Amino acid sequence: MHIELTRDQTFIDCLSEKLTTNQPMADWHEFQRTYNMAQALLVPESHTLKVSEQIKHVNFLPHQLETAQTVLDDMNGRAILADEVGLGKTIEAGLILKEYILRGLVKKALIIVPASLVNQWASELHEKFFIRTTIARKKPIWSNEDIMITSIDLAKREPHRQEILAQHYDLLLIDEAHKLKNHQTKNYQFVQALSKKYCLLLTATPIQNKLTDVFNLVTLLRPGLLGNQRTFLKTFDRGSKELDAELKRLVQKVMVRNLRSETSLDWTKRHVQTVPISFTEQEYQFYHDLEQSCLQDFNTTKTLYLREFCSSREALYTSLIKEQSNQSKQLVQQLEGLPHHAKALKLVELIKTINEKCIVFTEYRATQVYLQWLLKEHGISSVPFRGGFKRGKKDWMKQLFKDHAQVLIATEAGGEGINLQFCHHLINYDLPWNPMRVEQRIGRIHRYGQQQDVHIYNFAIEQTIEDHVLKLLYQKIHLFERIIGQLDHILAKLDVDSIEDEINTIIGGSRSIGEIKIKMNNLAAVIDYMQQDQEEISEHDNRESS
Amino acid sequence: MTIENLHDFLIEYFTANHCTVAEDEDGLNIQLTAEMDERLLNRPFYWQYVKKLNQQGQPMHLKVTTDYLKASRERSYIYFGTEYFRKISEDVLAKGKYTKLYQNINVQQQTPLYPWLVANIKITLQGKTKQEVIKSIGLNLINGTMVDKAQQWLADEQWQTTIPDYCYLITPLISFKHGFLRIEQYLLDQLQNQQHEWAELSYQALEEECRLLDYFFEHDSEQDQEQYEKERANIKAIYQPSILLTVINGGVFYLR
Repeated sequence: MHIELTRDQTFIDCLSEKLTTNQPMADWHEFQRTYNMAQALLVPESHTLKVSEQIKHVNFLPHQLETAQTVLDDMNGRAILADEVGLGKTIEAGLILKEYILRGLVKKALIIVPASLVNQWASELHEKFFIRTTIARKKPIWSNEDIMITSIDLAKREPHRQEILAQHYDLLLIDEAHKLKNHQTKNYQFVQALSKKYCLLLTATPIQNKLTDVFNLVTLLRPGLLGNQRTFLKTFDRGSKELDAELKRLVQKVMVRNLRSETSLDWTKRHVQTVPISFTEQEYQFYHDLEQSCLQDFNTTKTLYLREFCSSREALYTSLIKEQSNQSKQLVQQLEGLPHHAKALKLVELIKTINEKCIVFTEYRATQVYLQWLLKEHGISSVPFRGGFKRGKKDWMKQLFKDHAQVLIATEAGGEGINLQFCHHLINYDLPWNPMRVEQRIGRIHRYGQQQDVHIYNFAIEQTIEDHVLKLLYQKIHLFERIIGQLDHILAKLDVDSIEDEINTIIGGSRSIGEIKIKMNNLAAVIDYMQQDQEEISEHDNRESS
Repeated sequence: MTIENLHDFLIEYFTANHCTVAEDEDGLNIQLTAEMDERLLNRPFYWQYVKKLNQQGQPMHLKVTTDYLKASRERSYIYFGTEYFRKISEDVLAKGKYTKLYQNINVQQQTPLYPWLVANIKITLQGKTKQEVIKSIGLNLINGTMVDKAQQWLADEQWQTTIPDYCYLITPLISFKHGFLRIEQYLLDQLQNQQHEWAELSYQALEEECRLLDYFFEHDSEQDQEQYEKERANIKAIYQPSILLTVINGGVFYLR
């Protein structure tokens, strides 16, 4: 065993120099003060956090401190932080970063976050941990700054890419790391090639769909822990219970995942309710026509059209006009004759009854614009929120919503990272078909710091695909109550890539509504069955371990 | 932690640095000197211009508190972990690094004072864990006697920066340089005789990680050698056990 030794080579020479040239030196008090200061800055024994001794103005939650401790002691600073949305991953990451800084183990760090969250990260690290960061803007000098916050799009662009790759980082932090699940993407390869000592990957959705996603994330942290690509799939893609347990054990070496249900916090409740809506006769007629039309052979496109029409006329219109067929022209004409969308009118009514701040989520930008206009017609103030907004504009919109407007209308991209605890009504104007995205939406308001119960309203138009999907996802498999991680696992086992694709396949491959319903019921039944099975296993595990 | 009361520490620190400090119920109100302004506040341009124009400069009045709830836009929060504290700590560490002091004694006849070299040395044991300890060693530069916990021992006496009346200094027989090497050797011998479980555990972890890495790259020809070297360096940065000696401060003490 080899232990490197570094001695202090300069001290005695400096002292001798000062003694021979009779330079003024410290008096006793200064000398004693220096000694005391050095004692105060000393790295404590392991199993204690310096940061909790030195940061007193923030009340850290028990699970956050435990997570930081685990990452430091057991994972040696290379970990996936995978708490459910709203449990404070940013705080955990901040704790770890600050602890390393206080211990003198990290000086230079790179923090890669979605562009929309750059400001939020900087202010949170500063306010809670007094960590000074530099935001990479026009001409960042990567070699100069100790702690830099950047978006991946900026970082991977030349000339930045080359410069960043030439640096040695003591710590690399990546938020929304599930975007790195594919090892063939430029982003993944860039992160892999970075020279980094410690590495934190943050994601609320670590195992989105596939087994290989897990492999890729873990491999970024500890190459070889799960073997290599080929041996990994050979070993673990069998789906036996022993192998699953083995995989879980390995993954737990690099991943911390706190669930709401496990934290001892007093969470406010979620009240979920479905708001059924009927189209007018005229609208149903159009929906039916749209369903029957053979616009394109692409079945998924057709599904898309149907979904769009369930959202707003405007959403469908923007898609239809791109198609140059006679049939589409005819549909557009019909579309123009339709009255205000039944769902939108329902929204106005609901917002008026709620009479408090609400967030409305929609999948379509055209719907967003339409809704804003319609709300204004009814004297309701609203602000839009989109992923494409510049950083400053996002912060501004959030502030406008907080201080002046009743409603925030957000499209999907606005779903990540913004914290809106001051609001406790959320309306899913149209539902994403990916369960994770629903969870991320809700996480905007149902997170730590929310004082009141939150109300979630799911809109669905009866007798449409929307209705079928809602029933499948949210009633049959009780998505809102169950742990999402389990669902992912089940999907992986079923060899289903994503629920969204699966539903599209079902709808595309079916000739009648009846067929769609039957197939969806079958899917729901299988998932439900496996979920119960899973719960039994985990109960069994718990009993064994206790 | 040896700074038990930060509030009192700050009063002492600023006063010792010639600032006027007034206390009120919200915290401390400090009139900085030009030197402390330049050191603690972040306004290099101001001081650059002042100097260029050969002016006096107007040092700032600083309001601080160690109570977060009393902090405001006008009153800065200072606590361990804040930027202010970091700057203060750097300043403190630098100012008390070297010393030459004489025992404060009141004698009427000629009295010899003997030279001692004292060094407070931080030992850092770093691997997958990090531990630090400060050793305070004093060495008699005449007869080679060595004492542990020298700082506490010195603290029992009074010290001054000039030679007291009627006292004369004995010239060291051991040079400063050699004295320092003896102190260092003493600490290294101590380290040599200890069990270093931390290092063994780190080393095991290092080898284990390298094995995984080898396995990963052996079976994966797509990955290139450069990447392998990089990952290896990353692993080594985390796990390689090392010992680091850093002198916190030290100097020569003349005592009876």
